[in-house]
Amino acid sequence: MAVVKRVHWDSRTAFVLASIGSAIGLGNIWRFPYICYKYGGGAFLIPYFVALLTAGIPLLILEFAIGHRMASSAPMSFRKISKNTEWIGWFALLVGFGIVCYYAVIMGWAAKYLLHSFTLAWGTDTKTFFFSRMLNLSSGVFEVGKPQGFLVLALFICWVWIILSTWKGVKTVGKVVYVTVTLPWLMLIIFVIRGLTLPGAMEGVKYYLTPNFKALADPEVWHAAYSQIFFTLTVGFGVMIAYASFLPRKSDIVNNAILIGLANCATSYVAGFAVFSTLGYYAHVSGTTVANVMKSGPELAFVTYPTIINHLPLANLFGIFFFVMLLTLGIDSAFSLTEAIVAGVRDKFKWNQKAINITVGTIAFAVGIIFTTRSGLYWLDIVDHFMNNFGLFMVGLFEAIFIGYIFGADKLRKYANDLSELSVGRWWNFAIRYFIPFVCLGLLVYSLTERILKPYGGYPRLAEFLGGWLILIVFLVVSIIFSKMKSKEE
Amino acid sequence: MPISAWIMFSVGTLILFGGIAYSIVMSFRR
Repeated sequence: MAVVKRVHWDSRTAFVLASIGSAIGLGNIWRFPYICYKYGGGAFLIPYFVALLTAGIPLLILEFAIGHRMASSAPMSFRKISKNTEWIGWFALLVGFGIVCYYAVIMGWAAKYLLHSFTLAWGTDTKTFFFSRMLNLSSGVFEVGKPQGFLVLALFICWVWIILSTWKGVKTVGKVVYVTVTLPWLMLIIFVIRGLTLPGAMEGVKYYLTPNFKALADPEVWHAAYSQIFFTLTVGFGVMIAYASFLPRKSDIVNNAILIGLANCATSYVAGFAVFSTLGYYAHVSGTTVANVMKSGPELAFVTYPTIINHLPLANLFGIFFFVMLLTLGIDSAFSLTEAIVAGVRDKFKWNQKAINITVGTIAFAVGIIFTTRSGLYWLDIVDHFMNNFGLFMVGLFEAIFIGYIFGADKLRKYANDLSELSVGRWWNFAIRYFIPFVCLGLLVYSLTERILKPYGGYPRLAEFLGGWLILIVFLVVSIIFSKMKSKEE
Repeated sequence: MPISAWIMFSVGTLILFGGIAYSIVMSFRR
């Protein structure tokens, strides 16, 4: 059989930008600033940096090294370690699939809001506009209703965009990221400058950075820091393994991982200034405190921010900037998750890249329609919680154990060091073999205990089962079935 | 803004952007 040469990134910059783009997403804007404010303000930066150094960067090094060493996507990389570990690669991809299904829907909302920015169609009652007029949100999770036509259309457009961005794999991705990574950064800088020059801005920044060191004694703060690092770096979805598998043989591992980890966290840090300075301004003009206007998640982006935009001079322009920023932040995370799945299927079954692209996109689009129904936001919330709080930590736990004990942490460390501009010491072996499994297990036990005590978000137990546990069980079963199937080479 | 907030600002900026600058410089030394 003819050996197909693996396609490589055009340059190191393309790889670094693609990995940064994958890591940076909507969470950097709407999750980190809120978490930072909630868990000790500036003091939160201490556990956050500790989590980055002890778990985030070691896992990035692990994923880059294993992808590069095996020159395969996640499932086949793990298969090369042992046939019994292939399933974790598929499970990682499926967790990523679960996420990209709703991520594209959120991008659809952002696309719709981008159009609304031209006329500021959300008006003054932005909450009613988002929840009632746009989502037509029902009163309960089982009051599903029909899919919203324009949301389905927006979702379809987003999927066409994602598929085109990964059309020829990393060859296309490597070109697209020059725009989709630099553009949101440009927008972010504009927002920071605009935000900091508004009246009341420093009051907002004070909320963001004033440290409460007593918070560091609270285990929940450390839990939040490690969770945030896992969420933000896109480790545990097989993306970084797939991306590193397309690196040429002589490529750095350690320095790239450090650069990408720091660049992602720097984005969150800078986003905090953009968010809190504008919140400070909003609190100032509303005659209230920053604490009263602080929100996180979709409500920050689609309710609070449009309200703030209404108050800004050149409101339409800043509306356009904000939603272009959200769209470009989201797109590279979405297509990285898609590319990881496509690469996984292609490496195992040797199907045509474009055919897999269209198939994955079509299935994800069809699944995503659930999130465009009247109860879509509820289901999105449940799936998001379970993928991030269980799927992600399960992958992190098994990855660390498989590499630490079956492949050999020291073997992989030496491999990475031989290639890299910076070396990683023996502490990395300790992190992979003991510390990261301990942290992931701790986070899993914590999440599990919480779910046993009370259903997530007050949703009915049945909804929690269907949108959470059942999906995880199906993903596990499908992962095992895929891993038992013979690859084309066999 | 209190002095403690300025200290966290300085430390955060130094670690993140100093680290990025160091990483980029090291990539040219290969």
